[in-house]
Amino acid sequence: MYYSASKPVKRILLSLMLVPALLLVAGTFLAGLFITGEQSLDYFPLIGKTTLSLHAYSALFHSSVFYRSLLFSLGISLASTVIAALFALILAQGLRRYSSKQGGWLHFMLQFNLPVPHVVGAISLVLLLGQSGLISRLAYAAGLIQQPSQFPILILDQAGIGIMLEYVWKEVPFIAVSVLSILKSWIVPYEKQLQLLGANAWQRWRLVTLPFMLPSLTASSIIVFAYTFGSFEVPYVLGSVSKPTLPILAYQAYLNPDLTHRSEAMAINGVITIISLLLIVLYMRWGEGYATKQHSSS
Amino acid sequence: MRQNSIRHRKSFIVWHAILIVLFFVPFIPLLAWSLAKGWRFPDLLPTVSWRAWHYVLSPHSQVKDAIIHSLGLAAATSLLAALIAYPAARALGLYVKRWGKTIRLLLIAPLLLPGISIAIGVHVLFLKLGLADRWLGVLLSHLIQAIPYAVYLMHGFYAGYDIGYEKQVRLLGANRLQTFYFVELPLLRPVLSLSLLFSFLISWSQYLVTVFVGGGNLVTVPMLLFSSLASGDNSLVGALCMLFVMPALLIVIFSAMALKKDRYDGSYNGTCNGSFDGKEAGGAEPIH
Repeated sequence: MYYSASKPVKRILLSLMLVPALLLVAGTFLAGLFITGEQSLDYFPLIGKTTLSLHAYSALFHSSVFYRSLLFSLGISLASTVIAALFALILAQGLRRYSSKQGGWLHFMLQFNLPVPHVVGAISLVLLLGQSGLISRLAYAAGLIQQPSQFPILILDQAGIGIMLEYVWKEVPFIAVSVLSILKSWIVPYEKQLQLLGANAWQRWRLVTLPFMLPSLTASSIIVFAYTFGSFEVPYVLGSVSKPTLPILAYQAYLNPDLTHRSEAMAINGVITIISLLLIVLYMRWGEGYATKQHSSS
Repeated sequence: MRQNSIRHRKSFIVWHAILIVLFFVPFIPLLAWSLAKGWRFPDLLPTVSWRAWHYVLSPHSQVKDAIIHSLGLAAATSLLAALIAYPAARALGLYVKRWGKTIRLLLIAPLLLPGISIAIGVHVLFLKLGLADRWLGVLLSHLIQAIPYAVYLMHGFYAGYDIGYEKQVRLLGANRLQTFYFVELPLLRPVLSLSLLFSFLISWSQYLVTVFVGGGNLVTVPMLLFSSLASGDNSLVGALCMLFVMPALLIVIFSAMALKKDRYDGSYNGTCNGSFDGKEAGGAEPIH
């Protein structure tokens, strides 16, 4: 049917194949973004506001709470992404020499927490590292502390340590798996070649291993950054009430029964979305885009 | 040589230890709390009670309805996402030339957009369309998160797919349906099952969007988890967490076993299967 179809028929068939997915995914989120933008500009006919204004944004950019949250969120995402990427690199380097037959258990454990929901990771950290958590009890049994309040505050803390720990715990395997799939494939002959030519281990790593795995490392790191920046559940469970991240701030403003807070919620949402869009551009250029460029030029 | 193998053995054990500590230890307090009656501070071991598990597994509790809701939503999401993503991925991978990259970006964008913006955006849209507070609305909101993933996976497959197989079979007289059933489906199967499993998991672990769009009428497992967390009943939290991770763990074990089986059957599995193995392994990661 398809192979013999004429050009217009092909067009129709193709659009029939694409339209359901485009309508559901792109249509919905673009329409959602449009309404978000509209309401962030204070257009809200339900409570009699039909003129556009930028006052939600100007209020936002004059509020210290907003800047504090923005910096806090960016800092948490950046720190957890960098730390997770570092650990993932070490892990991938360490595990690459084991074949999947020999290190079957290692690979199984590496993938073990990939599909575990973030909430579960967050809750288990509360029960593990909280002031009356398991580690604190062990410290008591070892005689290091006499009461729970002597245990360092790692959960619901002002610095976001608990949040970062959860992100690192969850994202290390994610980055490691994507780097490992590169390290175990077509990179090996190149390294062998370099070894034959007399390069030492550091030279091999710097000249072949790093450049070849950089696209996949960058791509997965950008995904991790974007995810951690917009995640709601983890800071909701592990964050301090007095120091909300940006998504928590948006959530609180959105659920405020006073509808005049709506434009504020939408403006915060707009800021989060714009930062994520920038990340998508970076992802296309450095991650996926870079990888395809490499392939086509070689 | 001998020295080398001993060192090798040693680091092998060290890596096992590191991974066990990193990835299994966080589950210990969850399991312990789910079996605890009360667990006051300095005690290292809780007094054992099955109360939380009795509640979770009892046929009269709220939990049973939540499990049914969650399972129904996840099953529907999983099937529909594959059904909608399949033609789109095939079109993008094989036929669309000019706008291919843009369309693909539009389809996988929700993977990279922050969860909170999507949840709020979808909610305001569904309020306008009258889809809020309805099962269909919740299902659609889960599909928006699952379809991008299915498209991403299956597009990876079709990008490396040789349509020559299909042309050959058509030339030999097979009809469209036979071509699909005897050529395309066997090749697609690993990616398809991966996409089904992950769509299921994505829907199973949705919280925010279910609360917003469902308006609290449709109670799912993660919602029970958050409400028990707010009430501070740690035993119930532990049991619900174990229940909540169950599908994920089953899927990891299942896919590990399937991979192992593939490896041993590989010799007579035909040559074309092998060429997609790398694709599958490479595409298996990005789930949050």
